[in-house]
Amino acid sequence: MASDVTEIKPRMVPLREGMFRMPDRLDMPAALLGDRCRNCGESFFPPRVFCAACSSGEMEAVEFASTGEIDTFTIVRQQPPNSVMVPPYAIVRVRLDDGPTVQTVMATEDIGSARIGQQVQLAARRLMEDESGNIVVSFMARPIPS
Amino acid sequence: MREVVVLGAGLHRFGRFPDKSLQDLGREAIKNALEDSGVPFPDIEVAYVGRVLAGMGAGLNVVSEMGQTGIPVINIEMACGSSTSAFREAYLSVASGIYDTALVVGFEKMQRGMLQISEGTSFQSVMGLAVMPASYALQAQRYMADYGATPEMFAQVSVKSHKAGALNPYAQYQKETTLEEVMASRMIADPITLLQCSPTTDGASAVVICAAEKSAKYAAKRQMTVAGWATGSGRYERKGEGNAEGEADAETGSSEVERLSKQAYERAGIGPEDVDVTQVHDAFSPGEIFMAEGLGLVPKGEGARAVWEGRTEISGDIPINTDGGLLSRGHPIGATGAAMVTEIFRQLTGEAGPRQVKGGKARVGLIHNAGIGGVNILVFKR
Repeated sequence: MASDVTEIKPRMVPLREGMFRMPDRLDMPAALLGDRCRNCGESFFPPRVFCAACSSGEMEAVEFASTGEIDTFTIVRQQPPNSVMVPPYAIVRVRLDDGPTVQTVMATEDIGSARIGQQVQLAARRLMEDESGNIVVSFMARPIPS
Repeated sequence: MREVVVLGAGLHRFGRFPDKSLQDLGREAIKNALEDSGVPFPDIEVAYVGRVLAGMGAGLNVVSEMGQTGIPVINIEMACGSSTSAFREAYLSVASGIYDTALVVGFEKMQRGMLQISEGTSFQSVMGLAVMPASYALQAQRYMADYGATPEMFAQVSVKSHKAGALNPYAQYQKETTLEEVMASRMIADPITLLQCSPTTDGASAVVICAAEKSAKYAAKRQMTVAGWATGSGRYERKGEGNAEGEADAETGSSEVERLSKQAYERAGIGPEDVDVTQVHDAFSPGEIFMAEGLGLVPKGEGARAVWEGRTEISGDIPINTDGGLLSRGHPIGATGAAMVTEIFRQLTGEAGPRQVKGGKARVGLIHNAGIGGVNILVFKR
C-alpha cells in the first residue's frame, strides 16, 4: 500500500552529487572529492577526465583534506547574477593541506575571519532550499581557532 | 610571411546609445576606418569581426551595410579579447599572401550590470564565485600582501585613466575624477570600488590592414607595421608555478602574459625597454598594474608604485592606456581590441592630439587584450 506519511525532517542534498563527502549533519567537515593524475600527480577539484597539466586520461578519484589556508580573499558587495549568495559575502581561495587550491565562500557569520594566512576548514553549510523543500548543502570555509 | 601594415582605423564613439542599432554603430566605425585608410570598400577582400553578445551572423549584418560585395565575413568570439583575435586572423590571412586587404571590425551593445561569466547553473555561479571583479580583487589582495601596495594605488589607475579619457572625444567618460571620488565610490569587491570597474558600453571599432607591398596604391599618408604578436589560451600552471595557481587564469595572472609577451617581443626583434606606448586590458584597475609587470615594462612588484608615481601617465616614461583604457574609454567587449589598435595607430602616426606621447616620436606600440578564452599581444612599429 502506498503510504502517505509526510517526512518531518527536510532532507539534506548536496548542491552537486559527488562534489564532497556529505556528512550526517550541517557544520561538520565536508571533504572535497576530486581526482589526481596517475601520470604526473597533479590534483584537481572539481575532478577532470583528462589531466589539465599533462593530458593523461589516467585519473584516480581522491578525497582531499577538508583543511587548508586562505591564500587570498575578497568581500563581494554587489549581487552577482544567478547566485543565491546575498552580499556582503567573502570569496576565499584556499590551499588545501594535501590537494589543489580551490575557491569557495566563507560561512556568512565568519566573513570577518577572511584574511590571508587564516587556517580554515571546509564544512557542510546550508546554501538554499530547493523546490521540494530539501536543504541544499555546499562546502564553505570556516576559520579554525588558533 | 609578408609584411603587413595598418592603413587606417576608426571608431564609433563609446558610450550608451539605446536608440542606435549595431548596424548604426558598426557602419560609422567602418566608414571612418576606410576614409582614414584611403581604401575603398570594394577593395576589401575579407572581413574579420569580433563580437560577443549579438546573435547569429551579426558580422555580416553589419559589414554588408557598406555594400554586398560577397567577401567572406568571419565572426570571431573570445569574450573581451574578440577584436584583437579578429585582428590576428586578418593579419595572418594577409601575411600568408591569401588576401591583400582586410577589414577588422569590433562592435557590441551591452546591458547594464555585472557580466555573466559562466553558465548560470554552474555551481560557481550559484555559489557566487563567478564574479569578474572578484577575480581581480582576489589577485589584488594577494598583491597588496606580497608587495605592500595600498588600495589607493589601485584607485590611482582610475584617476589616471579618467584624466586620459577627458582628452579623448571617443571615450565614454570624458571627465576627470579625483582619488577621493574613486575611493569613496561604492565598494564592489574589496579593494575594488565602482569607479575601478570598466563600464558596460555600446560602441564599434574598425581597422584596415594591407600587404606592405600593395599599400603604395592607396597613397596612405602614413602607416604602421605589424611587428609581432602572440596568442595563448591560458596554460595550466602547476601548483607552485606562477601566480594563477591551480587554475589557468590568463586574464588576471601576469605569468601567462610574461610568457606570451616574450614570444611577441622576439617576433618583433625588440625588448620591453623599446616600447614607447602601451594599451593594456584594465577591465578593473589592478589590470594595468599586473599587466605592466607581466609585459616586463616594470619589474615584478613595482607596477603599483609606477602608477602611483605617474610613470604610466601620458607624460610618463611608460605611458599606458593613453585613450582612457577600458575604465574610461569604455569596454564594449567585442569592440575593445580594435579600439586599442586604433589608439596605437594614432600614437605612432603622431595624430593623437592632446594625448600624444613622447612629442610624436613614439616608434613602438604594444597591446595586451585579454578575454575569457585567452590573451592577445600585438606589437606595432612606425
